[in-house]
Amino acid sequence: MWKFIHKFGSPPHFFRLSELLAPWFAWIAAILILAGAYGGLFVAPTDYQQMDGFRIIYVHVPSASLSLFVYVTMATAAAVGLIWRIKLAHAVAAAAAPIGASFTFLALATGSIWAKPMWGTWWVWDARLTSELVLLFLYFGYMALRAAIEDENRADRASALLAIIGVINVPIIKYSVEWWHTLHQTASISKLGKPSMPPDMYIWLVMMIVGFMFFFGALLMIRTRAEVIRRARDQRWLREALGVS
Amino acid sequence: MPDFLDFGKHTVHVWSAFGLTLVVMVLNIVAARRSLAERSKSARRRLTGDAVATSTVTTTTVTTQGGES
Repeated sequence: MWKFIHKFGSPPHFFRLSELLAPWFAWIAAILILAGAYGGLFVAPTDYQQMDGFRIIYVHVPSASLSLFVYVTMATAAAVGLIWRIKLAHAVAAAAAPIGASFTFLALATGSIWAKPMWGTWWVWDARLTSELVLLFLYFGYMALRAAIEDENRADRASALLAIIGVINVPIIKYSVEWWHTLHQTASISKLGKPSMPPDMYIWLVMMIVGFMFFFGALLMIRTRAEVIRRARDQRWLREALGVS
Repeated sequence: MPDFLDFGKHTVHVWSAFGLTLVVMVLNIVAARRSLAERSKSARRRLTGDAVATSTVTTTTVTTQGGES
């Protein structure tokens, strides 16, 4: 286990692996997202209650799921960096933050666009929406804290602590629709229960969610490579990787 | 507007949500690629600069030693 962690924590190993995997992740994401968007827009049947307005679900739910998934990834990487003092893990956390922030913004914005025709308002201060907004501020706080501390090691440690403490918001977002009375509907897809949608609506949503995950995977690898290069000093593997003799 | 692009009274909402998603995805791709390109460029410059500086120091030392002998 220890050896495994350290092998994956080695920047040269990560560089080789990410160069190999990133294009695959990008292509899988492109295929799934294009197919899912086409199916969601043109193949899935119209909802009997929300009519065609329900099609926003095919971008809203994947971006909202990703906003949580990215945060958990970021906090896990930050914790690994903090506990095992692995620099690469801190680089992964730093690289994940802007991606997570952008998809949290997208979840809020597409939710707002969906809310207007369905609820008659762009925004309500209910538990789900407010806790998702707090998530956006957590991402901003994490990035601002990193930027504010000049010393790299201190920035890594302080931002990791903030990321770990912020994890408490993840179950709050997830279960907010069950714990409190909210305008927001309950989960459309659950790991344990049956989905609350028929299969011809459901399949495109699953495709979009998985596609978004692969998209994040590809972006994370590219951004982590950039972060690793920024942190690296004059090392032989970096010279080789960049083709500098 | 072609029929298949028409979502009745929700047309604007559906297309604006999908459009915004496309914009966020494209911006993410551009930002990630640009960040990698910029970091690689500055690292290359740093590494090449280091190499030039090291070779200059070596040359100077050799010349000085040569002059003294």
